[in-house]
Amino acid sequence: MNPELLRNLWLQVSPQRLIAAPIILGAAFALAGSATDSWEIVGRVAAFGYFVIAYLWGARRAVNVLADEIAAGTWDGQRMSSIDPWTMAWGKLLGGTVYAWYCALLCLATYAAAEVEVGRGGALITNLPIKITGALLVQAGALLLALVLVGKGRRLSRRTVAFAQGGALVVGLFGVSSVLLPSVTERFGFGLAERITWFGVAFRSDDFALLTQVLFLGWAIAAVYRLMAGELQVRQRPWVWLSFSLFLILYYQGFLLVGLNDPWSLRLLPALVVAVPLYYVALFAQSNDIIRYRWLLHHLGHGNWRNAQSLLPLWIPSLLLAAALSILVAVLARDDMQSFADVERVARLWSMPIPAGTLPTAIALILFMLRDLGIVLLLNFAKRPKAPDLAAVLYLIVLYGICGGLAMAAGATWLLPLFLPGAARSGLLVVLAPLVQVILAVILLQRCWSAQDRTLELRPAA
Amino acid sequence: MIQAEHLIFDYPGHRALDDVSFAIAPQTITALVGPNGAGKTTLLRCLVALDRPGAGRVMLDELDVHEAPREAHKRMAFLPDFFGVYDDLTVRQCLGYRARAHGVPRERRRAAVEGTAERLGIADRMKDYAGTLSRGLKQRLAIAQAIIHEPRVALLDEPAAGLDPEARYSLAAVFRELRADGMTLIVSSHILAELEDYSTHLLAIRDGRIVDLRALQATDTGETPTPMQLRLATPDPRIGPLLASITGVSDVVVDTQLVHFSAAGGAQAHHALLKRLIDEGLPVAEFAPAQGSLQDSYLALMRKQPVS
Repeated sequence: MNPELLRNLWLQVSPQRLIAAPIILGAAFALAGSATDSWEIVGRVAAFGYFVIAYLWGARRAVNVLADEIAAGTWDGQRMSSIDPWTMAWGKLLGGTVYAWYCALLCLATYAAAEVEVGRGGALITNLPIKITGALLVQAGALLLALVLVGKGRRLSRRTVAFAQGGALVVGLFGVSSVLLPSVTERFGFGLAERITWFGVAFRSDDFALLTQVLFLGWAIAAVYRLMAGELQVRQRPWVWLSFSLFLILYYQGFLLVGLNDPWSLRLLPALVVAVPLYYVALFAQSNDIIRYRWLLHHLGHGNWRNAQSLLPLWIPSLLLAAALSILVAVLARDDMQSFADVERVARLWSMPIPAGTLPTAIALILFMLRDLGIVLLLNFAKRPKAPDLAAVLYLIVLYGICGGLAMAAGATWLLPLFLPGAARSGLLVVLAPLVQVILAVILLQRCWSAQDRTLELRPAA
Repeated sequence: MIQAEHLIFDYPGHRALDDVSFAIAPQTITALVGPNGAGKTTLLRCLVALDRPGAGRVMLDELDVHEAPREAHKRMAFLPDFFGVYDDLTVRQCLGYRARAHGVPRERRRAAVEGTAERLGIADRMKDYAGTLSRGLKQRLAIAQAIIHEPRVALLDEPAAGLDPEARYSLAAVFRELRADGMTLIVSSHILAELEDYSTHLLAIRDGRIVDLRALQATDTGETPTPMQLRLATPDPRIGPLLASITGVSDVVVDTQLVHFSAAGGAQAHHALLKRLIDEGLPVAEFAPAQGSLQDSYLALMRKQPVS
C-alpha cells in the first residue's frame, strides 16, 4: 500500500470519526427532509453538502497535507525517503483528502438517492462523474498551487493556504467548468449552453464539461507529479510545460469553426491569445531569484546543457512560443487581417486588444513581454526582495491599466504606445516605445547584477 | 565512502559553500564543526541531496547523489536540526510508516521496526503517541525513523540540541554502537565536549570553506594520519631521526621524553611501528593516540584560519 496514503488513513480515519460522519450528515438530511417533506430539498442539501465538503474542505485539506508537513518539520524526512514522486503525489492527493471524501461520498449517495426519487436518475450517469472529477480537479489544483508556492520559497502560512485553496476553486469551478465553457461557446455563437461544438463535433454540454474536467484533471495531476519530482530533487525539464501549452492551444482551437479555406492568420490567432497569458503564468509560477540565473548562465557558458536544462525557466520556451506565433500571425495577416470581420468577433470575445495584424505590432508585443520580464527580474534581483511578484503585478496593472487608461482619458493618444502594444498608426513609434523601455530594463538589470557581484565579492564559479 | 567534490552553493547575498571538497572514510564518526553561519547545515543538506549545489558533486561510493537522489536516500539517513515527528501517530506507526517509505520489504519490516526501537531504547514506548514523548525520547524516535532502513551513512544536524546531560550521554552511546555496526556518521554540533566522546574525525568549516579534516582517534582504516604521542622512560636522541625516517610518520616533535607525531595506517601499522621502536632498543614507556581536546583543536583551527 502507498505509505503516504496509509499514514493519512492512520491520521484521519478512526472508528469514532467513521461513525460520527454518517450520524451528523444523516441528521442534517433527515432534518431537511422532515421539515419540507421533499426529496428535492434533501437532494439540494446533499448537493450543497457535497460542494462544501469535497470542494471547499477538500481543497483546504489538499493544501494542508503539505502545509502540515512543513509546519511540523517532517517534510524533509519525507523528501529523504525513497518514495518516488508519483507515489508521493497521489498518496498526498488522495490521502490528505481521504476523510473529506468519505463525508463527501455520503452526501453524493444521498444526492443520488434523492435524484432517483424525483425521477432524474438518468442524468446521474454524467452528473456524478462531473461532480467527482470537478472536486478532484479543485483538490489537485490546490495541491498544485501549494507546491508552486513551496517551490517559490514561500511559507505555507494561513494566508497562503487560503490563497491556494481559493485559487484552485476559482480555476476549477469558474475557470474550467462552470462559466468559461458556456460563455465561450455562447459568445462565439458556435454553440448553445446545451450543445457545444468542438473541432466540429457536437457534444452535450454536460458531456463536454466532463471531458474538459477529465482532461484538465489529467494535466493537474501531471503538474503535481512534476512539481513533486522537483521537491524530491529529481531533475526537471520543460517538456511537460511545453506539451501543456500546446494542449491548451489545441483545446481552445477546437472552439473555432474554421474551414480549410479560412486564412491561417485567423486560425492561428487564438493560439497566440492563449500563448501570451501562458508566458505570464510561467513567469510568475517559478522562483526568479538571482542565484538560479547566475548558475544558468554559468552552465550555458560552460556548455553544460544537462545542468542548464534543469535550471531553464519555463518562461523561456513560453516566450519563444508566443514570439513565434506573434510573428507568424503578423506575417500571415499582413495584407488582409484588417478586412476580417471575424477578427473583431474574436477581439470582442477575449475582451482585450489584439494585434492589429502588422509586423510592428507583433514586434511590440514581444518587446512588451520582454519589458515585463525585466520588471519581474529587477524586483526579484533586489538585495532584499520583498513580495517581488506582488509588486510586479501591481506595476503591470499600473502600466497597462492605469497609465494607459489615464492617457486615453486625457486624450494623449500619442502616449499610448508606451503602455499598450500596437496603439499607434506609426509602425516606428509602435516598436520604439517598448524598445526604449526594454533597453532601460536591461541597463537596470545589468547594474543590479554587477552590484550584487561587487557586494558579494564572489570568485568566479569553479 | 562519501566524497564531496568542489561543492559551491549560493544564497542570494552570500556564498554558503565555496569549493568544498573532502572525503569521509567508512565506519567513522566525523564531527562537523564551525561557527554559526559557517555552512554546516547547507553542507549536510547538499550531501544528502535535499538541496542541489550550483556546482560540484557528491559521490556515495560510485553513486552521484544528485543524479539519483531516490537511490541515494536508500543508503543515507539525515536528521535535520528542526526535525519533526508525527505527534498523532504511535511510535510503532511512526516507525512502520518510515520503514514503508524507505522501501523496507514486508517480510523484514516488523523486525526492522522492533530492532530499531530496541537499539534506540524506545521499545517500551511503541504504543505511546509521539506527541506525548519527552524531548529526549522524540530525538531517539527521530533517529530511529531516520535509520530504520539501515543506511550506510547517517548525517545528523545538531542531534543533541536541547537534550539533558543524561540523554546526551546515551545518544553518544547510540552513535558509537551505530559505528560499530558499520555505519558512517557525520554529526554537526556546537557542543564540542559531546562530539569528543564519540568522534573519530574532525571536519572544520568556516565561511563556507573546509578548514581542516583530521583524525581524532586511531581508526582501523588508517586512511587519515592519527595524531600520536609516546613517552620514553629516559631521553634518547635517536627517537627523532628514527621516527622521521619511517614511512607514514610525520609532524615529529620531540620534547625530551615526550614525542608527538602523526602516524598513517590503522592499528596494525601502529603495532608494527611500536614493535620497530622496541626492536631498535628505544625505552618506550607509553605509546597511544594523542588525547588532545577537541575544543583546543577547534579553537586553534579557528584562530589559525583568518576570515577570508
